Amino acid sequence: MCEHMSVAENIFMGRMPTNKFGMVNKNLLIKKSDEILKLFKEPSRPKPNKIIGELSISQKQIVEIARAISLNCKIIILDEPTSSLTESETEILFEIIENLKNNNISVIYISHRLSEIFKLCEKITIMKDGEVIDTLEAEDTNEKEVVNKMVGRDIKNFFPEKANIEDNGRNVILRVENLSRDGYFKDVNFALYDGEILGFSGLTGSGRSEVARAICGIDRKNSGNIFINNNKVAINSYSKSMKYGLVYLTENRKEDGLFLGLDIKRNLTVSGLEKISNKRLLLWVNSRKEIASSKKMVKDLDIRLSSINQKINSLSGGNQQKVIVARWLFVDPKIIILDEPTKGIDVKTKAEIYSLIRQLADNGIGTIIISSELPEIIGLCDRIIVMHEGEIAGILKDKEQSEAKIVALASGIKEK
Amino acid sequence: MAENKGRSSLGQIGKGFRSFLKFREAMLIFIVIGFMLIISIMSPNFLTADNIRSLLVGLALDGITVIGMAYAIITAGLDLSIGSVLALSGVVTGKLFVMGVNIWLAALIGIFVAVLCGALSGFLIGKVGLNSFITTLGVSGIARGICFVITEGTPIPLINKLPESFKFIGGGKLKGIPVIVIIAFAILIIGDLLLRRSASMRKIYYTGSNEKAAMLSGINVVKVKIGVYVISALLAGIAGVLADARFGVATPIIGGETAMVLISAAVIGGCSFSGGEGSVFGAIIGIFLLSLVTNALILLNISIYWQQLVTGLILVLAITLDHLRNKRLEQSMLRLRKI
Repeated sequence: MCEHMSVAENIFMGRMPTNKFGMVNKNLLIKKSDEILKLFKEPSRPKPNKIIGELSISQKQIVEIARAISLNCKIIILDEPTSSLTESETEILFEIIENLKNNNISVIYISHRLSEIFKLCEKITIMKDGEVIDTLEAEDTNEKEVVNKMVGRDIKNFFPEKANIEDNGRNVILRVENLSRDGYFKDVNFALYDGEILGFSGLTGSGRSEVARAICGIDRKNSGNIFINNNKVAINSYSKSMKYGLVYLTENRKEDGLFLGLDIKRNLTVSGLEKISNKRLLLWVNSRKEIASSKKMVKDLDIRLSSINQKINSLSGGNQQKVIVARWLFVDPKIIILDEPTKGIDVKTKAEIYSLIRQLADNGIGTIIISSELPEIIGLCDRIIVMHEGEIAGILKDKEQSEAKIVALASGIKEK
Repeated sequence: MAENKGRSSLGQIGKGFRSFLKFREAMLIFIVIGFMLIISIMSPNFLTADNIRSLLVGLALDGITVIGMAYAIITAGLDLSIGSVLALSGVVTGKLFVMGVNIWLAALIGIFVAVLCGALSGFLIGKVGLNSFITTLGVSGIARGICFVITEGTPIPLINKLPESFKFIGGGKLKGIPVIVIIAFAILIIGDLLLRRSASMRKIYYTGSNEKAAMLSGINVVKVKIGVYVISALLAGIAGVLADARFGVATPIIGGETAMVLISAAVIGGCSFSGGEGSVFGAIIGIFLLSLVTNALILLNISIYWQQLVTGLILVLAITLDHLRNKRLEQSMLRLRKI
């Protein structure tokens, strides 16, 4: 879409109604856009003369769908439409899709999120490695069957076993006190014990990632103290945070994580350049060490590739994510924060990453998971911190965890 | 058994050769060699010591400064101020010398002033976050302006007063090789090796490839960018002093077209404007190729006015080929992803 142009101009891009001099007929353009936009419900639908750049992501999606409708389409294909939407925006999208169905427009909906598929779809086609595995009626199947077909085998232990957090004598490796950042979150207090996986849940925009980024010194904070192994630390930049062994794995793999133009080797070693270079000789890179370390990382995480000299964008999303995880494990972190670690990843790699994360926790690395996927966070985490509008709404221990409880806390419903 | 072994090692050589061919630089080297063969057939004067010497002397200054341009382009930036900073360093050195300062001290001060210009560009681009094109265009104007203010527009003649030792670095020879060529060669090798092998310099690639990801990998992007423009200006400063030594005069208008030549050379040599790609070696071959064109035109008695046209053609051809090659690579990448 053209960010600097209006909604109407985007809907009729390249097909603007013109007058007899070949100039754009603005009135007709607005009128025709209005007709299409009427299909969408009130609060969310944008005005035709609004500029695209000022819209929310879900409103932009409405414009895109409106453009498709303006072409008199009969089929709309939506590819992972909810990946950047909040919970409430997703609801709006679902309403729109229902609306389209009622207007005799067919929808092909591509998604990783099984719950969405079962909510929306009548028919499910499962693909794997570029082949159609099966097409099922949604009524006759269930999530488990679909997952099994996606993976090609039975996944019995999709999530690894949890640690027993009640054990006495566990050390606190990270403590955060009264952390605040104006406009994002306030008075965040929590502790991370060694051997546990701590989950952060909450709606998009509730401040989960912002808290993590502030702890790591990527964003600034207004107040609050951070203790690592009971020592107060002053972290004001991300490189400082790395020196304390505190690392953050970004949620936007493509935009903030990968160096798409560089090879796998360089993507693996970027954060640990000191480890593969000679300190005395102007940090001269030792290529033998570089290759050996890269190969070891590839082997340890079972990254599927044909050569470490390949460019990173020749890998699948799951393997790219493994590269980023390997990059951070290479610097021997004490605490690792993973923001949406399985976003856009196939089911099989997901399971691998889950067991890897558990392994890290078992090895005494403090592990924090930020995730929007409720089954994931419940299946994986020992304790879950739920955030609501920048504050911690509750901390759930293993036995208290349920999707209903998390959703209630995340949407700000107070329990009695 | 022995036969088998022989075949496999032969196969390995074949494989090594093929991967060598994939290098952008290898392709360029072939073009340069082919071009040289053609010229030497067409003109007997090409492969003479005198001609080669003058060819190398001619590209020494561009060769030194192209390193900075390559660094800047690899960070997804640009340094348009190189030519003007070169002139400023030369003019400051010359003016101080005429005023009675020792020439070596004057040269140091000239280089220092150049570095200040680079620090200004680097600060504005790295710290403040301005666009490199506009910033270096502005700094270029400032540097050139100071040149004109200092000289009042007229070149400062130095040749009669310069000490022999200083003239030696500009015009002297060691075993038949011009000193200025030796200096340029040494700087080029250091510049190439550092970028290839030093961990700190590798951050230039990361910064250019994806600045946000570089930051989130613990790289101080601001420091990298400031460093790049300071190095670029340092090299321009050195080139400015060498220009004084070579021509025996400090000219305010020297280096007027340097930036464009350097950009062309770096891009022909494989530096990508979107950052993260390129090498000093490639950029040098780019400069060499462009110098060869000029040299050939002179030797073949073709009007020098054709030079820019041919340079332009080569540039357009190079980026077109590059684009097509990248497209093909992308397709083969998609095939690889099936694994």
